[in-house]
Amino acid sequence: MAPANLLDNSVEAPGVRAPLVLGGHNNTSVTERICQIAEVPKPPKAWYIAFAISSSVTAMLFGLVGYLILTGIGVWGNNAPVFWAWDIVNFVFWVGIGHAGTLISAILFLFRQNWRTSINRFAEAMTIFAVVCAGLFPTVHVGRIWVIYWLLPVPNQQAIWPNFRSPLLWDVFAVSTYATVSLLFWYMGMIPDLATFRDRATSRWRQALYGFLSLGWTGSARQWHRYEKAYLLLAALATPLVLSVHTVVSFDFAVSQLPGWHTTIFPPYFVAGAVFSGFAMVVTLMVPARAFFGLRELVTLRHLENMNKIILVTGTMVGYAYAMEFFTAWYSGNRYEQFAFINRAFGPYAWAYWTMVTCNVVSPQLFWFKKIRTTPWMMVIVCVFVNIGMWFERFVITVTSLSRDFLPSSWGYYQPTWIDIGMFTGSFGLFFTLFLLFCRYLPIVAMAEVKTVIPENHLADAH
Amino acid sequence: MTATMTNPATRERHEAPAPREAPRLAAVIAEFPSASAVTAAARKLREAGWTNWDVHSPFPIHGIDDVIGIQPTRLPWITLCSGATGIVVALLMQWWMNAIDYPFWISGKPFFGLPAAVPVAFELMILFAAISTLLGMLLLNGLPRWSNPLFNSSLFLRATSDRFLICVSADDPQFDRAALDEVLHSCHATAIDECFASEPSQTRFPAAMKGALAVLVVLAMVPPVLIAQKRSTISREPRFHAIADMDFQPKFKAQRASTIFADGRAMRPQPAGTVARGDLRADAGLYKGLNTHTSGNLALHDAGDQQSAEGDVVVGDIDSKRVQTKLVSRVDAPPADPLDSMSWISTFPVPVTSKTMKRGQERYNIYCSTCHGLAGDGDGLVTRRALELEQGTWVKPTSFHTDNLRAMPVGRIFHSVSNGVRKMPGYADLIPVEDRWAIVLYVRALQQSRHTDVKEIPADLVPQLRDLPRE
Repeated sequence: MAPANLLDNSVEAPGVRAPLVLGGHNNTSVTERICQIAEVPKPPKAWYIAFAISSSVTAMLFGLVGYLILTGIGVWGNNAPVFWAWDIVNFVFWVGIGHAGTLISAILFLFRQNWRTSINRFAEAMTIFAVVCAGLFPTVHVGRIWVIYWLLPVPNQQAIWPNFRSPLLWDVFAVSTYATVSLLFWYMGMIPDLATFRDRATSRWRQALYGFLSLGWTGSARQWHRYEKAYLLLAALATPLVLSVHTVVSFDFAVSQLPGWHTTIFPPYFVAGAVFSGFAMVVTLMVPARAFFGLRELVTLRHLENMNKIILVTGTMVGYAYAMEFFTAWYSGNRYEQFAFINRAFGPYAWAYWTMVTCNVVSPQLFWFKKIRTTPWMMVIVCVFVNIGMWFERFVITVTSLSRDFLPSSWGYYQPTWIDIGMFTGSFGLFFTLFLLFCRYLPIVAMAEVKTVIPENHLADAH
Repeated sequence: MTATMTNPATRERHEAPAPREAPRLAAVIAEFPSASAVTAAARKLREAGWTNWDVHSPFPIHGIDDVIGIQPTRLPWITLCSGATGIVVALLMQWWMNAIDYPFWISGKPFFGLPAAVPVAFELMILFAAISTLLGMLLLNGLPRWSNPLFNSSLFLRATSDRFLICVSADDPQFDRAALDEVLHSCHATAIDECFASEPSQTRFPAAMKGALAVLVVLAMVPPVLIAQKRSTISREPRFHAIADMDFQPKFKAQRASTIFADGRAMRPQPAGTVARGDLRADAGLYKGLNTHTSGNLALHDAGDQQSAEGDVVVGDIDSKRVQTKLVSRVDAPPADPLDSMSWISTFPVPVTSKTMKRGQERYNIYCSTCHGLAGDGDGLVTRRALELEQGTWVKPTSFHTDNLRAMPVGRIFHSVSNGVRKMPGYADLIPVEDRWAIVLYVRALQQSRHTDVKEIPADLVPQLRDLPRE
């Protein structure tokens, strides 16, 4: 048999459950495969090159943030009437990407989708780093960062509390909670694997570091019992959390009065869009990573195909939401709402609108073809377009409604400055820097969870 | 057998010169090849009555909990209680902060609305529940526990990778090594190891570190103490601006000095011809119908001076004792109208010409005739309709043809037109000042039309009279 067939578990054979881990892995080989990525004394040269590029881009980001804080928000292109532009677009973009990780970890866990075990660690890490990048933008867009603590309900010199009826404040709570809970979930998932690193450590500092982080985990049945219960509870908590966080983000728009924003479809539409873009980012990162780190037998074509199917479903939901927005605008008879949508398609931002529609509605439909959804390089292209389309969706929503709202005399065209573009690019640098550090120093696959699905441990099951 | 040399990190031992006692056995470790093998062994061990042991595996083995006899954990209750606490805390916080301590008035919405409080309450519930779940799990598991005698065994180190172990603690008072060995061999353990309690380390905390730590602690106390001191004392210094923002603006304020102008002031004097806003209506007679020297506050005049000589212009004095005694002695009389005592003008401040009169007629017909009627009898269309509808609260407008109104000074009539009286609203906003005087002039003409001797009418107009009074 050709090697390619050995790695293809995406073939459907009725009555036979496709294997999730290929190559005849056992506990030892799974452990070796994952641990050697972090244990090899020097990472491969490609890692160094990638790290050098991403850290210089991150350095540019920090420089631009410093310039922004010292000079003011005027260095961006935000101006009347478009007061929210790339800053909010980037925030929603990154937060949306983060949601896929939680969905894979929590929601697929609740649905007992065992194929998630190979990708959940990777995806959760992506969530954490995406939320870090997301949090940067609202933090700096306030202008006076030195009084950003006014956002929190702590006593301050203004002797006034935050306004709890504002979705912008709900956002503070939602995104902070999401960052915290994702971090806790990711960390808790890593404790057994960090213990594996600790027990295999050959140098003093590795033993100290991983020993500290793994908190003395011994893998006893009693510990596993409570651990599994805690995992289930956190998954059950994280599921409504991820739905609520992007709902609250959508409320930033939906609770306002602007045509094109003030619509009840936003919460489910945003959540579906978040899952859509997040999964696309996971696939974009996973395809090169599995090739580079030798994970093809753990993150199989079936895994990728399953993710692509989810991308197809959520992409169709997003396309449906676009159609519903149009229908609602027409059916409402509200001429401002109708104008908002005609303006999106044929106004000055039509170029952005049609990019969005092509990338979001057309690209995922390619996944109806089995060939495309099981060929790694093809799916990466589709997923990159999906992410581009999702960025443009947030751009179209935010900027078109602001640039042309109720009063024509207030209309204006927004253009980004080099600082806007630089900070967005820089956020990718930050994301990839953190990601490369994760790949180097932490277990990138949940070994303990993968071991529960390898055939060796199932053939001789306890019951 | 002590730990083998596979893990150099645990190889470090302190070579203490003093003789040591024999190391104490902490646990016996048995290794098994697979999950099912270790499960079978666990079953046997439990049946043989052993306690104080556990199974160690790189992943949770399905069904092992029942085999060992592990009771379900109380962790879900911890999560539930924390989640409930989170909701209560969030709701209380929002209610107290936005409705009690500093109420937020936002377009008349309720100060505390449960629907608006839901998002924050939901998020805090999740946050509290998640943090307590993780902390609860760790604490129930006895973690963090960085020092464990099991880590001294190299056999044990494979438990987190690919081996399945049973570790029997030697702390059990019924611990019998021989019996244990027999049971373990009958379960087909592939290897057995002993692990010993680590000797307490001879390494002492370096004195230099202790000193450095003490210094750091003292330094860390400095900021809070300084803050407490500043908050509890009064300072005469100007406020300290950590971040200036826009607190110091390079601009001139009203009473500042400047070097730009010769007189050294930032403020410039008024240009010639400036009219103060209060001066725009200096003519009390024209604008208020009052004599000039009583152009003060209308409200300060009182009723105490009605008894003074008629025709006299007297300014009421609210501080005078006369007022108080007068009011006391007339306790049963209706309160006097303060307008009665004011000094109204009796002559027109506008030219009394036929042009003014015609203007007054036109304006009267527009603004006044709807209620007062075209002839001033108080029988306008609105009044008639109101009476027809039996509006109990409708007060019929005064007829102009009463002695009271004929005697009323024109200034007072002007006042009534401008500011309203009883149910009539004021028309100052609708009718410019000159037009109002024109209306008053016309009202006088209406009054005169019903109260004139025929002899006073020009002879050529007499034939036009319809009804001559029967004397």
